[in-house]
Amino acid sequence: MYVFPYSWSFTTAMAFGAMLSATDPVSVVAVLREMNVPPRLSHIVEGESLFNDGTAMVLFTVFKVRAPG
Amino acid sequence: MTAVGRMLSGGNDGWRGDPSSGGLFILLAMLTGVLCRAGLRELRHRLNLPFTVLVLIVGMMFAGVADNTDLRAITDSLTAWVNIDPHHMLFLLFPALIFGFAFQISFNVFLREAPIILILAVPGVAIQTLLTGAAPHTHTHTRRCLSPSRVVYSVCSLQCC
Repeated sequence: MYVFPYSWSFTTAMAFGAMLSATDPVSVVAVLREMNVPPRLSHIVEGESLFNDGTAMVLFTVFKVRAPG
Repeated sequence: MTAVGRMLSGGNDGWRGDPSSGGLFILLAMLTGVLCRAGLRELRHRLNLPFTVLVLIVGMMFAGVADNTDLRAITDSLTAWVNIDPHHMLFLLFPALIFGFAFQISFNVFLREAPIILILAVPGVAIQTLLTGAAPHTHTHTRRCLSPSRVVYSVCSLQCC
């Protein structure tokens, strides 16, 4: 139980989670294109990577405002 | 201390360089990418490596060299990028990403896939945030019986069942 020895509050931990959930798969999309996957899959992955930045930013701002300290 | 170490330990408080020197780095990055692509095409029979992996390795080598030896303008340029304000990073890269996506996708394809994209991008990211945040939270509050993240974990495991 010494993985996260920071005693974070719930909001701080959620702000941390929001930070890590905004993945940007530029290299993943490049690999998908090289491997000739169905275009539908690469469109979905690419579109999701664009929109999840916005969601993660909203979530992070919400939890950052409410985080203590 | 190296440039990356400085960034991780204290942010950009101590850095008083010229931010306009960063332009050289963009040119060098483009040159590196082109050289990697060309080299991979030449050596494709002997070197079976994905392009992105090669770029990562070359970039790490480049950063190591530029960090430990004084390459004057190149090191200045790299330091300017390492000490960039994170908000500027977003505004520098995001327009290019959106443009790249909008340029190659057709609007009809996007409309057809929009429900899946939006499901993955809004509730998906929210679930991911809860799960990623729940891991450090449960680690720090293991003694409390009903912490919010434990409830989240219980709900998720029920969903999996």
